[in-house]
Amino acid sequence: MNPVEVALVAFSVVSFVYFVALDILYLLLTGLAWNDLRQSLWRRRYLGLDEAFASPLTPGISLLIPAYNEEAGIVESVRSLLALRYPKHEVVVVNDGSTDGTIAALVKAFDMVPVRQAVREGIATATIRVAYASRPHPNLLVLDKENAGRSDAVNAGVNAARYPYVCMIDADSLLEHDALLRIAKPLLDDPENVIAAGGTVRAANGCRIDHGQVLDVRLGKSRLATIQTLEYIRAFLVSRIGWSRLRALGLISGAFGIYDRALLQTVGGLWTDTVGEDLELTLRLHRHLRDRGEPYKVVFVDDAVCWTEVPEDLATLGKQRRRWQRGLFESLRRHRVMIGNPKYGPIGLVAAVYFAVFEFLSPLFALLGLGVSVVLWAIGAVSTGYIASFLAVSVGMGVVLSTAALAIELIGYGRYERRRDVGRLLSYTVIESFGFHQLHNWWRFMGYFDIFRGKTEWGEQKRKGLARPADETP
Amino acid sequence: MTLAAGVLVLALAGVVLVLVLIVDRGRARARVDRLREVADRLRPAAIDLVDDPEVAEAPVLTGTEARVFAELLAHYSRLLRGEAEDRIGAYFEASGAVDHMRRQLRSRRVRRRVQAAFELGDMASQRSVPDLLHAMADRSLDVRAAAARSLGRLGATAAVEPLIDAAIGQRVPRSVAGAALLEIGAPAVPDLLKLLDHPDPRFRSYALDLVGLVGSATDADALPARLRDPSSEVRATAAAAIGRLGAATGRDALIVLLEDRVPFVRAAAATALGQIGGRSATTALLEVARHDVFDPASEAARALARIDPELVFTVAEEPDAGPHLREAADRLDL
Repeated sequence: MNPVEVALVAFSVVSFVYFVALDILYLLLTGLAWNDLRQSLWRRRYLGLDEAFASPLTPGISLLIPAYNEEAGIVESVRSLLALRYPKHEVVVVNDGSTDGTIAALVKAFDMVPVRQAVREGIATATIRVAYASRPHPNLLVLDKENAGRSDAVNAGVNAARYPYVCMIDADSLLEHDALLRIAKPLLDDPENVIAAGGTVRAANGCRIDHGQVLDVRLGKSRLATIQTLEYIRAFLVSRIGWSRLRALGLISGAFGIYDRALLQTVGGLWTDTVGEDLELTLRLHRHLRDRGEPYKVVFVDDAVCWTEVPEDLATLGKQRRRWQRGLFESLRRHRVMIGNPKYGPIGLVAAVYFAVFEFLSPLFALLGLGVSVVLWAIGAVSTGYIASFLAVSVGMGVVLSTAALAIELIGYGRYERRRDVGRLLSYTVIESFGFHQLHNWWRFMGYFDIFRGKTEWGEQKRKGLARPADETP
Repeated sequence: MTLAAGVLVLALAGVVLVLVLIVDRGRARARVDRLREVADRLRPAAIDLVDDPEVAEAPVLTGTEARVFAELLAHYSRLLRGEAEDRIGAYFEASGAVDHMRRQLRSRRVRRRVQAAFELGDMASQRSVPDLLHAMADRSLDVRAAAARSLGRLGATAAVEPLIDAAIGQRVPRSVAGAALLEIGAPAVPDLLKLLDHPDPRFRSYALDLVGLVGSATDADALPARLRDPSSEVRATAAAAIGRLGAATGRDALIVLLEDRVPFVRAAAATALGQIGGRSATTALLEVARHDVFDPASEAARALARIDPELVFTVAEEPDAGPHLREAADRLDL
């Protein structure tokens, strides 16, 4: 064996160990999610959501909706948010300099007129051009500001928010009718400690939607959307629950999260110079509170559900994954002091290390490690037994973990009623592991180049618009 | 190869598990349909029992039917008060369900204790109050929370202090204890008023909050004294309570509170003055609306808009009006 072969074999072995460690971690998270489900399933009956809904003690929540060229679905989306089951909430839409008819659609649909709105000066944002208030809906406010990105729009919303908690939602996402009540429950129960909560995000492609509500959950025809449906089930119903149980929830999804407004203003709101603003904010909140030694909790609420449209074409999905990789790098670079630092507890020792090693570096091992190992087997440098074991831990375990996640979905949530849909998801556990994971890692690998090139923009996001009346839904 | 075989077996096991669950869901759906049929059949009898004082006896049922009938009555118990609820209580007493659940409260299994603590609240029997008070000290949070909810359902005034104590000590979720105390309602007020002198400011604040929600104007006399409380939380909650009760006797003290050193206290005082009304507060509110920090200024402008809209229209156009009065004027115009 020449030195090059020796080096490649060593790299292959390191990759093998990497996969074994990752599998053990995911098995642990799956075990924790199973255990959580076992304990929480029967308790759901005793949640007391009706009492919380009826209670005047329930604190108000400001829903912040950043919107950029969302003319297609913004009206239905706002209508459904205004009708959410929650006793005291306002909807603040922040139009981020759209070039389409977003503002005109809102003004017409909700009979809005310009008002001289007082806005806090706490977080610096781009100029707000006009604020609109609605005659029939006093709890709807629209801010029309100059374009400066999603994070800046959210920050403007935080400045204008009236209530003590703010909930960030993407303009093209839909909340289930009682999602706000469910995600706010930990804040109501333990207001002194819980400072932020994240909900479950699910793929809405293919669902029958009418007036901003998912009426019938089903899978669409798109293969890519189906794979992402499975991915989201695994990410939220297994990983997030597991991380939450470990007290190491390092990410609240930007699509659906609720925060203490005063704390958000104290830390300066969302960082506008990153495309991974949700991860960066979650890490910054942990860091801020840990540095001050203050007691706090960041929790995940599995049955508070937000439906979102996932990309159905490879180009858009690829761009999204490259952007995630870039955002991950930017967040980790800013908070590198947390990685492996015991001062930050489970967040520093487990979550930040996971993000750095198993997320950011995953393309090196999952792609190069796999490729190198297959080549080494082809040239006879490693045995068939070795390559079979390598494929088992790197690819085969994906099927194990995805079927376990699907089982958790069926037992605990049962959103997919049709057998055909569940059967399809089951078959996609194989497709996801043999092919999609590798493609996903290829995009993440390309993300390295974006980082080196110092790319900063978000890129165009193709969307069809979910919150339209049923007759328009494809 | 052993590792690969192991992973293959695990993957196959996962596939089989999902297939079994698909079949099981079909069965579960059929079970739910059957229970719904039983409920539809028994509903008229349940309504008769609740509605009609002439119905002397409930139908004799066993097994699934008895369970479904009890669930129907428990559901009605959450919606009804007075004689109808008494009749539901009499049914559960006669059927032995109350005693059964009281025994279950001492079960070793958490799930049974939670179920018992929860269901006793819908059985409308005052006999279970001492057992539920005892359950408030259970080692399981779920049992304590279920007991708290049930004590509220039963309107147990004896539970007022234990509920506040449990909420403040984080032994029961705040929302559950709060909802229970609100459900007890006006009968809780005498006990809440006693707590206004509690040495712990958190008790005083919690009690004030609830007096403001379930009390009446006649209960307001004890509140203005709390506007001078050393705790800012208590001062703010007292202001909010006076505002909710619309107690004009507190107006002068609230005007003084507009100069409190803590912004959220000033904001609460401004809100309360808006709720009480009366033009004697306008000068002080104008000052806050023009020059104070965001939250008090915003609340003062809103309060002025309620008290004297014409004044807000006028001052909003003045050069030193500030953003809050301008916003208030524009919103009045909507």
